[in-house]
Amino acid sequence: MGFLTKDLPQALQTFPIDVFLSYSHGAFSGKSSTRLKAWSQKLADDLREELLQLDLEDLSLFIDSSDREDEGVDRTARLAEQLKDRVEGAAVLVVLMSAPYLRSRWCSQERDWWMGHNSPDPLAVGGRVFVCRAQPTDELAWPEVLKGFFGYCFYDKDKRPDLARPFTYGGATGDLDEYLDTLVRLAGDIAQRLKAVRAVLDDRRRQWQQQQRAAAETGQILYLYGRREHAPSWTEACERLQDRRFVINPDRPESVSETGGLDPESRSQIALSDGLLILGTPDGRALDSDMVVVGRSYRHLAIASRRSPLPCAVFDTVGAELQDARRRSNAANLGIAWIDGTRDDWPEHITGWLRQGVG
Amino acid sequence: MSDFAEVRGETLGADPFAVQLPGRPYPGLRPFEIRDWPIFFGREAMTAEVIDLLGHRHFLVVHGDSGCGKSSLIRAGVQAQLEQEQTRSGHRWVAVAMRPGDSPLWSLAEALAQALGRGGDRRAVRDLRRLLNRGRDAAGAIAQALELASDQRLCLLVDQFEELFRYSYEGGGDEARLFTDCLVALEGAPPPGLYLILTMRSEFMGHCARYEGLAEAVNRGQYLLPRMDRAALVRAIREPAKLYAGEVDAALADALIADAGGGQDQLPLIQHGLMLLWGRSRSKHLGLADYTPGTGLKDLLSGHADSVMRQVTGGGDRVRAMLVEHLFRALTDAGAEGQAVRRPQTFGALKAVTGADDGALREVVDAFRAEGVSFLTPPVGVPIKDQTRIDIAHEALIRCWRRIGDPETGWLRHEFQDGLTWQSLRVQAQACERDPSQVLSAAATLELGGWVRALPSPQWTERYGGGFSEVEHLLAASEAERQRKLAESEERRRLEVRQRFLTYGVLGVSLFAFIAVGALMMSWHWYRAADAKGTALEDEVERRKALHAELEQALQRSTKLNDDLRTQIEQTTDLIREVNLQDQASATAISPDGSLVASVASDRRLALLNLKSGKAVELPPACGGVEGPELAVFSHDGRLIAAARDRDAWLMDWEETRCQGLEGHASRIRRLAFHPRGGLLATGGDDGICRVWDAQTGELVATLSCAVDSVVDLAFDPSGLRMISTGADGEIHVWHSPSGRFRDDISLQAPIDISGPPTTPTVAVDTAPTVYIHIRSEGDRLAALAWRRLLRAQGVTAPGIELVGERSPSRSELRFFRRSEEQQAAQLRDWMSRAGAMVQLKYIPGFEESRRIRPLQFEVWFADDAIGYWFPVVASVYDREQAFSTAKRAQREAAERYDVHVYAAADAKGREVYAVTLGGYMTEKEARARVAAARKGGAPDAYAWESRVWGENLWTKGPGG
Repeated sequence: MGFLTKDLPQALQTFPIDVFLSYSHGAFSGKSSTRLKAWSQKLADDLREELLQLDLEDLSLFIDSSDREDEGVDRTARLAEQLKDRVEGAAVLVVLMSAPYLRSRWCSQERDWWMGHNSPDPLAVGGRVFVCRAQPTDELAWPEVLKGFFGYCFYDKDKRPDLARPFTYGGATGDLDEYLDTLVRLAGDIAQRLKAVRAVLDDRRRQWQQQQRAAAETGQILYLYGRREHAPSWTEACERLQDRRFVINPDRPESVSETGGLDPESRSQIALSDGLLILGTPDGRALDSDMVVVGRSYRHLAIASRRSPLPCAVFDTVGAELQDARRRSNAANLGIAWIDGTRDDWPEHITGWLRQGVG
Repeated sequence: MSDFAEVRGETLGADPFAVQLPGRPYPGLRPFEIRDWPIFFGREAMTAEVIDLLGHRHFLVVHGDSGCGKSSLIRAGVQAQLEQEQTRSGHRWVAVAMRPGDSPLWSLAEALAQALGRGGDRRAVRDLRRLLNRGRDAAGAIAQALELASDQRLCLLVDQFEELFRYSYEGGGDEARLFTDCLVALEGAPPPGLYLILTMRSEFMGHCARYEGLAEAVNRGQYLLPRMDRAALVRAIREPAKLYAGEVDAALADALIADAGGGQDQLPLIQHGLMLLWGRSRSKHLGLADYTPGTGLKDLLSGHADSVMRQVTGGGDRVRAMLVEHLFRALTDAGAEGQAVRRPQTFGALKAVTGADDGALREVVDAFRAEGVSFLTPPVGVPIKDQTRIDIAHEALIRCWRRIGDPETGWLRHEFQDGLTWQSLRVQAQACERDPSQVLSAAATLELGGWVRALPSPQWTERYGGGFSEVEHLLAASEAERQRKLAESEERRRLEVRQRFLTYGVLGVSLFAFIAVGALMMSWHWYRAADAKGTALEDEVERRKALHAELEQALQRSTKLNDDLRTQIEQTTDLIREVNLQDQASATAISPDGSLVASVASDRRLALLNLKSGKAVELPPACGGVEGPELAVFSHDGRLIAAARDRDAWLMDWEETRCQGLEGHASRIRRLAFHPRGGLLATGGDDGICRVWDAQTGELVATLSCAVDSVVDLAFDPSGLRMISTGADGEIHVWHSPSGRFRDDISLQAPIDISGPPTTPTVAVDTAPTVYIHIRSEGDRLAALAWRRLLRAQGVTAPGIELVGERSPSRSELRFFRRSEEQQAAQLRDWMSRAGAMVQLKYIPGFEESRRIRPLQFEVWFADDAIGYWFPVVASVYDREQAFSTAKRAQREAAERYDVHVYAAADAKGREVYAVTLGGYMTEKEARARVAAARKGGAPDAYAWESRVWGENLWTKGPGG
């Protein structure tokens, strides 16, 4: 992804700009360009105000107010490079559609820059382009990538096309209500999309943090699931893990409930852990069912709620006797690793398992 | 009794903790089965919620959109996990799944028998079925029969519960009620250890309120399936591959989610795409390189289905290709809302419908359900018997495979059109049964004959009401008629040739005679001049003269005869017109075949006149005394006449001379209407009550409160399932009887209130024209009446409707008789086309000076198959309020009342589109025109609109309806 934060891992990449407003400074029909520019800047300001009311933290909206080469004024290459970064780093592209926009080479370039990094949408959020119609235009002449956008109409559709001007154009106040109504609608839609983008980025960041924690030598929170009837084995395993400075949850082995499932308290504790260990005792039948119910069903329930992976392994306190081919195959088919606690090198296996499990 | 194809045990087998991975990580379009639990990801939170709810109350209705994954969640999620958890805590687990199908109670009994380990044991099933007869009191008895031990758990899944509503609609109302009673009983007092899960489509939730106690039970335990969020989708995509030592890159997962869009087909399209990509990949490491983003998962699906089809047909086997088409046509349908839906059929039924032999059909079905294809269920591995239900794996296939779903050329469209063709043939066949002269035209015989021969099988027609033998009879009769006409025209041609020969011969002989006579005369003069002899020749000339005079007289007689005949025909036509003119004013009715007229005789008694013989028909003595009838109407077969005077009504069978008084109305009767299939008569009057009578026995079948004030109009719709009443206060009531019997199944559809100012534009013709309507057959009369009423509402005099049979033109015409009136005719034609009928102008010469044709007299001749679907369209709008206010205005504007129908459709964005019509149906052309017009105004979804317009069950909707 071509964000400005190119050197960071994907999970830490962000959009430096939330909204990039792309518009043409050109005049509608050979008259002064300042009016359209002023109107566009006012729209950007008003849009920022609207979005700020929606509790979007650190909102950044960018509108290019510099003058342009193809619109009469020279523009340096350095400026263009900066602008390119801004465009590429924008989560949302807002296009002010007008006849000059369709003619402008700059606008076309801005669009290409943005599309080049966002099409196909790397976030799978979709709909991050918003078209605001500043004046009537021929939709057939629209750029291919914008065709099909219905857009937000900022002019009176019932007027003759050659007479239609944007609402509040040139400071008019007669159509202020129409202007504000459309603006509110636009802001609501943009905010919704920005929140979706941020949610995806948050997920990625959370996963990355998880990976970082798992990669540490020790100190992770492990949920050690064991049954009450296997309390001595559970206590011994717990102590061995604590000796290696792992934090162990819960504080005691559990009894199998009447329904066979886990209670809400256990569920939420599993979701807060860095790894899930299922105690393997000589009671192979109990392990088989614990692997399926705890290691599969409840682990994935936890994954769904925390939105990041949760490695799971059998902590085998028995050894070869417990590890028949069928059981090992079951574990593999459930995505559950096997840590032979009878071997001397089990602590290294735990570290490797945690790193691999969230990788 | 059912063969129990709808019931099956659903457990994980002997060891619920054995983890057996399915053959591949992605099942494709088909739903997840219980054995697929190891690869079922992304719905864990929903699974846990459902299990928690079930733990709380042992009864739960899980509902959601069609194809949203209810079945997968319940099977691979809930049932698998429940079984594992319960087994883990030491319980014995039994799970049985059933669908209501065509025998809900027997299926439930069989399901319970299977739970007891006695599945298929007829006696055990019957005993359980007997218990179910207790309905609301069944819970205790069921608990006793099940005898669940404290360590036993039984899960009963009633899948696709909505099938019950269809079953009820199709006549199983009592059984459906008993079935829901049993469920309500089990919900109220569940036997310990029993879990009861129902799945159904959310749009049917409202139907639950039709059964006592069911809505309450649903309210206490229901779960609306949420959509999967993005993170859940990513896990559903990425987790299964890991179990197969493979991987799906995060970037690919994102691209697939983006391409699938957020619509209802998102999940199935992704599942199918993954199955395909996985099958193609050797490395089992799927990344963006394996998939071109933006390709479109829909295209992938459509292309895959095409490739399976090519494989089945070997590239060009046309017979096989037709079999595939007929198979999928049989498995799809348009739903109540016009959307494409699945239509599961047993394998046996499919054999019958497609006309294919067992082996060929099995091969095709197997190809489409093969591992790695999964377009049909049951999945490969499940043996197919005759009673096995074959179903399309997911409705996404119907929507995405262009061969099925293309709005212009798709099979679904073909099926719909063929269905319409068959239904119109059936109507014609029924008309032909009543009146053998009602056969198809020669061109239609040839075309439809070929069409019928190309049908896959006679059983196909059952979907559209059957009647294969009747239609065969119609075609045979039409063919005979065609042959007869062919022979006749051949004979005529031959006669013409002979006539011509004779004429020329006579002329030749005359000429010869003339020349000969001339020559002889001259010779005679010469002779007389030379030698005054030869009287023999003179005699000959006299004889010839006499012969000539005789011929001339004969010719004059023949011409006169012709003229007389013409005058007679014209007089008869006028008579019929005059009689028709009166029918609006008094108790005058003409039988549907035009042979009889019922009217008030000079003695103010009801009299029946045979128009052909001109003689009176004797009425039953009991009815002969019906004095001063104000209303009279013939039944559609012309056999019965209903008449009314003040609050009294009579029904008479004039052939069998039976007569019956109908007593009940408290005040004056205003309207009489026969049911289109006969058998029922509806009456309505000033007491605001509509009464429906059995036309055979005179028994009062139903009493309906139709209007606050007085009932001014009544009619049945062509399907016979609805009756429309109009009150003087402008209220329209639509009464619906699903069985068409109007006995105990009548429900009131939402009323349309009529008020507001009349604003409908009138026909822009200076003085009121007169228009005679001509139709081909009796079946068109209802539509013609609607037109007549609409014309009258426009200030046009529309005296009557003429039945013209074979004389009807191939394209509908508006005939005018004077060149000077062409402009007015064109205005009228334009107005008619705006209202929905495409008619062409036709000038009929020879009447410019005729006194029989009044000024501005026109005739509308509807083409033979046109009017049946040409009900006038008043408006097509997007706004619901506007639609109904237009309907109200239309109602108000008309001098007479007529049936205003408001069709509703949805566009792609879910917006409602409405068409206001007078009467029932539209032609395909009309619907297309509407679509085109609607597109200009805001791009609605053409397909959704069309199918909703054409569907049989899209009849009418009132506000709030």
